[in-house]
Amino acid sequence: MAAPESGDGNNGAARMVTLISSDNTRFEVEAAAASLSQTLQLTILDGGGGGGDGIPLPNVDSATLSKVLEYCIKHAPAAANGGAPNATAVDRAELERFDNEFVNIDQSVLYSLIMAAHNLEIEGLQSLVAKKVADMIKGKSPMEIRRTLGFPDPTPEEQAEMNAHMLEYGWAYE
Amino acid sequence: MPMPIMNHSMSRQRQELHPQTQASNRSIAPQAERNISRGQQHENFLGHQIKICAGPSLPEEIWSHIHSLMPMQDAARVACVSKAFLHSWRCHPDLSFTEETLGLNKNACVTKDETAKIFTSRVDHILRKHSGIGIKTFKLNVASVYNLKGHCHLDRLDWWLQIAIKPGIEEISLSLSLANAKFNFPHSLLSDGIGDSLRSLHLTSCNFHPTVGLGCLRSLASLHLSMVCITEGELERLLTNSFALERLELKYCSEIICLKIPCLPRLSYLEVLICRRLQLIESKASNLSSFRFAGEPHVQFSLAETSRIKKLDWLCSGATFYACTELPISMPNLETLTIHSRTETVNTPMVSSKFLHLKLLNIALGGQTYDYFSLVSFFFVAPSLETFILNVQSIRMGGVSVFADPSNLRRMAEQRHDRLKRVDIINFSSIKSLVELTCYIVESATSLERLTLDTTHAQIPQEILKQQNVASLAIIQASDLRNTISNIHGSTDEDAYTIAEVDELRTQAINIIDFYCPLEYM
Repeated sequence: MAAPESGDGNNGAARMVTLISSDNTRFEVEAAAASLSQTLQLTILDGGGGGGDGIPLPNVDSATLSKVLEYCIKHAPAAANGGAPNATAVDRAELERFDNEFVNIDQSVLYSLIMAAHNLEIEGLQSLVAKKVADMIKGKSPMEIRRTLGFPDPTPEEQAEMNAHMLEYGWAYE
Repeated sequence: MPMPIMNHSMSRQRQELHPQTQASNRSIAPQAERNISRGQQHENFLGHQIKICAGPSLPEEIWSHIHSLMPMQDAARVACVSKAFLHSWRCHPDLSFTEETLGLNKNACVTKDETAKIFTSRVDHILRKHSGIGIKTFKLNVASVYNLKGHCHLDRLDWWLQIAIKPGIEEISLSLSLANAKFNFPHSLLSDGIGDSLRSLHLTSCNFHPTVGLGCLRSLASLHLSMVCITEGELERLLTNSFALERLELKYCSEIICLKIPCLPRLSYLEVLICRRLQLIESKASNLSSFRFAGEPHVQFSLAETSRIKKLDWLCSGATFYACTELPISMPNLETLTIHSRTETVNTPMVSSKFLHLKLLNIALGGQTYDYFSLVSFFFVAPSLETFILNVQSIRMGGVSVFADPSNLRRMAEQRHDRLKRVDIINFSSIKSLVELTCYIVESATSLERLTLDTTHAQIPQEILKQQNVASLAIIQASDLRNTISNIHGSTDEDAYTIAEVDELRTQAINIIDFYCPLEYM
């Protein structure tokens, strides 16, 4: 296992862990919240991240990591209950409200979040952000989608391919 | 928001998190990601080097994930935007074929035959182009099945299901039209472990005769069979092998005489509606919390652990009497009770047993001679009741009008039902026993916050309707709330009418009375 070595011998039960963003900012969070990341969970179980050590995350900048951790901290209690089958309707509504507000962000931040959720394998966050992008696309024409997503204008070949597809799936454009 | 802590290891050498596995398991190498976000060249889409903007720099598998979350019609439309989308369209996990998703419901001028033909050719086309990989949901809802040669859904259905039902399938929903229970669902497609991932099976209007070879459906959580030909033996075997089942719904399955449900530990919802020949329901499922039944009064029940049932819907003639006399004993922990009794011949008696937890009671009830005032007993049986909804089903024929006999309205000595907060009476009319019930509620429900008297039923003769509105207004007026009534939806010129007996009612804490009447009386 290539996890960072644990200098202080803490095991997976360590309460707090430190995460270091690509721009060398350190974040201290509860291990339970950080463990929402499948990737980090292994490292934490291996004893990484405790004490003076930290887990470096060279793919995530501090602004994005801060946002990711905001999500993890909010969702950690529910995740600890195994998807919260006993959660009250109020708890669920509160999480839903949080999620809706959480993704109400600038598109570039959204993409950074998708990448971070993907790299860190945080399933709930991956779905949440992907759903947001899917909703942004829904009901739009191909050209509108290209613009929404920041694609460059199509080359003539691409335009020909698009036209052929639109002919083939004409019903989907009705 | 988590705040960064003081950085005291700036010089610490960065280490990648599992550098080996990260590079091999994911399509994005960390370094590549950094480069992309700085706006360099990338060839993820359409095989061209394109200038990277924020959006398209995401790796293909993320775009596929995003694409997979879109409804089928959107997914088909956006497939042309990029190679990633086109690729993921061919693996789209959610195939839902209905006239709506195939863009067919907008062409009103097309004949049914043509619709069937177009429907078939579109499904055919999509499935021919599909890789057959990764389908999780297959739904087919055919409003009407045509057997005309050349455009028969049924001819193609076997082939469609062969494409769709592969390892990994989670949800199958097949809904054919009413009169065509001729299609034999090819259950063998689910054998050899292919059904292991299936979570939901929803069949309408077809034959389903699973054999021993089907084996276990170990993930099946929801089974819905409607107008399905299945024998009770076949169903029992299927249920025995579906030990993860949480919901079981059976509608119009007329071959079943004795429904035997084995000990399914997770089964919490059971619905059995209008299974014509049904005589007995025998359930050993010990965690049932919600039960819905519609059928004949003679059906016998043998249910395990009925004290765990919290929600019951009972659609059966005579259900009100049964609910008041039997259920407090057999299902004492009910929280929500819905009763629909088209013909209630016996008035509801006073009983001593109680539903201590019942919060919501919803009764739809008819019966020519039924005394609505007898429903008062439910307020004693259910002392925790907060919401009471009554839908009167016998407006035209039932009972003496309070206008025909305004004398001696029955009352009960000082009673208080102080948990009751909301009462809706739908199809309110001037039936004397109903007016008596309403007066009783206004008088005894000391915490009532909202009372709705709805007289908007379309089929009432105008004369009766006029009288009903007057009766409603009389109650409103009598409760001395004219200044606080905020929601009167309609009024008559004759709101000066009062009924002497109800005139004496004391002011209650009610702050909203909804009174609905048809527009022509507004």
